[in-house]
Amino acid sequence: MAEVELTVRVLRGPARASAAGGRYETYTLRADAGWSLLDVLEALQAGPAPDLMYRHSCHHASCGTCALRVDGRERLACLTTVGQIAAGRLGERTGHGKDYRLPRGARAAVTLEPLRSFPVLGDLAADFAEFFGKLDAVEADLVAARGEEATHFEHCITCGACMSACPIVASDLEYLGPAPLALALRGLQDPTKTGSDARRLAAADQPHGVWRCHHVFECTAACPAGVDPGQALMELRARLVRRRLGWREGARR
Amino acid sequence: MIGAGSTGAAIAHDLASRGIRTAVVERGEPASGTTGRNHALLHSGGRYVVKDPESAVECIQENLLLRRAAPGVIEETGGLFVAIDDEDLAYREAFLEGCRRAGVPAEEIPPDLARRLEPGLTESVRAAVRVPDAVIDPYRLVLSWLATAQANGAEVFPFTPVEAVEVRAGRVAHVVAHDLVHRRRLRLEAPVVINAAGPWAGRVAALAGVEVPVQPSAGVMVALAARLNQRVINRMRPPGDGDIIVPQRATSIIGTTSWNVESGDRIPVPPDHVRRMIEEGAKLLPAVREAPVLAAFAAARPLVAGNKESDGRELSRGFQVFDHGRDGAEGFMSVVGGKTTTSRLMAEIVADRVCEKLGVQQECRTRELALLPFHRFRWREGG
Ligand SMILES: Cc1cc2nc3c(=O)[nH]c(=O)nc-3n(C[C@H](O)[C@H](O)[C@H](O)COP(=O)(O)OP(=O)(O)OC[C@H]3O[C@@H](n4cnc5c(N)ncnc54)[C@H](O)[C@@H]3O)c2cc1C
Ligand code: SF4
Ligand code: FES
Repeated sequence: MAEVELTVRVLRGPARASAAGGRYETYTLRADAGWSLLDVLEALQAGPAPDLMYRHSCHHASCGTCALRVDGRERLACLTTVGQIAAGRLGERTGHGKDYRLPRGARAAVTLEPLRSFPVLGDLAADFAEFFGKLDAVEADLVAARGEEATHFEHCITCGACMSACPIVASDLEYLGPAPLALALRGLQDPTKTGSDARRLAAADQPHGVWRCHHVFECTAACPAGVDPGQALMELRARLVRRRLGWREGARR
Repeated sequence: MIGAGSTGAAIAHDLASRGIRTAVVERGEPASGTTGRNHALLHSGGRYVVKDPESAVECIQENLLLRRAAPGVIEETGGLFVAIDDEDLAYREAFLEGCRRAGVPAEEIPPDLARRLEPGLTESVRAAVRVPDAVIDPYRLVLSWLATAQANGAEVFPFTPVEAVEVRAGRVAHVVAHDLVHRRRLRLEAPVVINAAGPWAGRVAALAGVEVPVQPSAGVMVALAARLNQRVINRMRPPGDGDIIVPQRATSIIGTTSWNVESGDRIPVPPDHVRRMIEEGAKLLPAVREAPVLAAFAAARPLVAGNKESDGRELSRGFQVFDHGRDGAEGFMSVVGGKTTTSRLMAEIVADRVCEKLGVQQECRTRELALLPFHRFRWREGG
């Protein structure tokens, strides 16, 4: 695999209320084109930045811990490879399993920042406590159905990318936001009927709920899991409207 | 508790639920070691019935308990063992007999039914057996254990690497950890300190001046950008490279390989291992060959070292508790090995030992206790 001389600019800084207020540190290292950004961050930790804070767990787009902003766009660090950065192909979902045919002695630069609209635990690590509180409000603890007709774990990995990309969340931190609302809908559709639908509807149908959305669909563009929270939001709205009109759910489908 | 992987988190939950004041220090995000990167299989025990029947018995018991305690982090997919060549077929008898002895429910089904259930299976299926495998979300499981422990009074400090374990006059005295969130040094005094640092357990033990024979053994897994199977698909043969495909969310994950590494840090993902996973996986599900790769990743098993010459697969999958009292560090214990599937059981055994040391008489409650949802976890105390 080709080697790349990679310059990484990292927004660092102690715990604070938002990503703003840190300072950029620049590191240069030789990185294998097949490395993910998690490998890059681990290499920095092993070298010039031993106390570097970042979140990771599954390394395959399933746990939702590693989302950050890569050159200003929300990405999963585990799916973003050095080769992909060097080839300027950050629009692709994953850089793994691809040969970008980089020239010898390729160089690249990348800027890493924590997610927007989240408090920061330090460096690149966003504090998900408030976000998780919103998941709690919509009872996002879904139970996968049993037996032959298993429905899958919801595809939303609660990575927060949509929350960071959403301009409404940025201006109203109490706004429930795309993922919690999409999970509220998913809960309403759950065939196992786990959790309280009344609570989900109440959470969605309030001033910081589903009506705040301005349909910018930045959430859907940012989602690394193909959830399409923007569309889910619209469907949730339609449900609430039908309810206000006194239509029975399911009757029109 | 040092380390918040499945071992540390399960022990913290057990201790806190018995009313024992507990603090957990984890150097990074919870489940950022082996646990988060494992294969996500809630073992039925089928993989161990022939070679390690004891593990198989533990797996099926814990499998059932975990389904009840934390249904929200388990996908009840079921699993299949399939034989696709003569050699596999020759293993069938031993496999079925092993399942019977270990109490692992196993139902042989006709190959064509197997292919109806899993249309992606190869045409060469010669025999198929259903077992109660399932899929875990290991990250959420760890957060659920920690959240439940927090609700029972435990304090959890992520991003807080342990730097020193002080031993005085033959007893563990305190632990010094660097709390990166609050940018301070924590000094935690405790009569009992448990090292659950997984493949790093040897290093943490060295901080206390004692030795733990842990041999990290790495494995590569390949996640595909498509879910090709609904159930866990195992090859019916003794565990080997690329013999299992676990479906998780929208992916299928093929695994795994096994080779010895120095520690859990900076484990490489050798491209030839990735190719081998795809080759072997395609023997079970031919579509593996065309499916785009989503990610290739590796984790290290914290195995208890026996024979250094072996590649790791022969080492015991069981776990060991080291009481370092006999090494001159009374109150310091290391817990190494095991599986995420059997963490609750490991925790029960360790917590019993801790209670004994503390002179506390409290029965284990984790067989019955339901866990809180993962999103109750909080990274900062009081936050
Ligand atoms: C390839 C592979 C596939 C596997 N598949 C499965 C499977 O499908 N199902 C299953 O049940 N089991 C599976 N296992 C086994 C299982 O994953 C492990 O047994 C289990 O995760 C070990 O958990 P642990 O908590 O002991 O270690 P870890 O999860 O590694 O936790 C140790 C923790 O200690 C922390 N730590 C290290 N040093 C310090 C320090 N100085 N201070 C503070 N914290 C520190 C680390 O950050 C880490 O979070 C698999 C293992 C491998 C390698
Ligand atoms: S909807 Fe998509 S972007 Fe938002 S949290 Fe879920 S997976 Fe992440
Ligand atoms: S590490 Fe789990 S989503 Fe990236």
